[in-house]
Amino acid sequence: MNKEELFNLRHASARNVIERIFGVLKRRFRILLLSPEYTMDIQARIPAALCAIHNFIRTHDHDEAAQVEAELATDPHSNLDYENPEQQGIPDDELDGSRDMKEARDHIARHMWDDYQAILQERGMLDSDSDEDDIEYD
Amino acid sequence: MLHIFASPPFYTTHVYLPDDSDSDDGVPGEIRNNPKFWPYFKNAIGAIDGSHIHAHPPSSDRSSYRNRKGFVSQNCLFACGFDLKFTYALTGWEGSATDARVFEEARSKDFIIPNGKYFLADAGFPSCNGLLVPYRGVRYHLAEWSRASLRYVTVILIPYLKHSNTTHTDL
Repeated sequence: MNKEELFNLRHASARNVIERIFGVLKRRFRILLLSPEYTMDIQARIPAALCAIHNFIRTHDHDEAAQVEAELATDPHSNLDYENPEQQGIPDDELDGSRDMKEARDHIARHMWDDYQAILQERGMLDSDSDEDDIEYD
Repeated sequence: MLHIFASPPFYTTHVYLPDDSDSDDGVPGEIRNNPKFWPYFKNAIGAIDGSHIHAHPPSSDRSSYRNRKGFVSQNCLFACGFDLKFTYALTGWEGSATDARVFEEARSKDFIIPNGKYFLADAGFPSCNGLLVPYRGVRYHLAEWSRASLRYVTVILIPYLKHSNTTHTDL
């Protein structure tokens, strides 16, 4: 593993919140799995309305929200989107601000990696073939 | 009824982006309490992604609504916070539009990301102010999934490997 891989690993793990919310939304509102024969204007409003209702439920009914998530947790496939983002590749070095965010990313990756190495060293795990998951954090 | 939920005031009361004044509220617990994320992602305010939702356009428009996966859809861009609430939605784009294209449109309209903050996005999005994307051409290390079920590992990685030139003999 190198610092870019560690960054991508943790980035994917933090980004997973969007996959989870899609899973909850699609499980909660089955209409999203159909293609209803309304005008496109109406069809476009459906997901937006459901987002608002989802947030409303989340704010006002914690039991219900917890139940949907628990169901989701037992069904690891329900929240997976078979995306291959690489395929949509877009040039990302010609945009305003791209350099700033790339520098920020390098900074985060370096910081993460240094801390990770320090923890491995502290625990005498540098030479072992240890996984990220072998590290237990307090 | 649909319009009530998808329009102000209901919609805007429940779906809104954090603004600059919210930045003093601190970092969400989901980031702060996880040593794998803290302090690295302290400026992250959530994640964004596109999602294809089945659509039924007029037959004359069907081809532009057909997405890369072969089904007819609208591509919807969503953002959410770490508290699992939506903060933004842009719906109704033809399924053939890429996430980057829908994002560009959102950005030119009402998708305002507070200064110094960013959303986490996948490699289908541009690296630009307000978005933190993964390194490209770097494989996702398998360690994270090594304790998960094998089925989960397979499902996650097959779409990635299929289009990758790298040989992953460790699978």
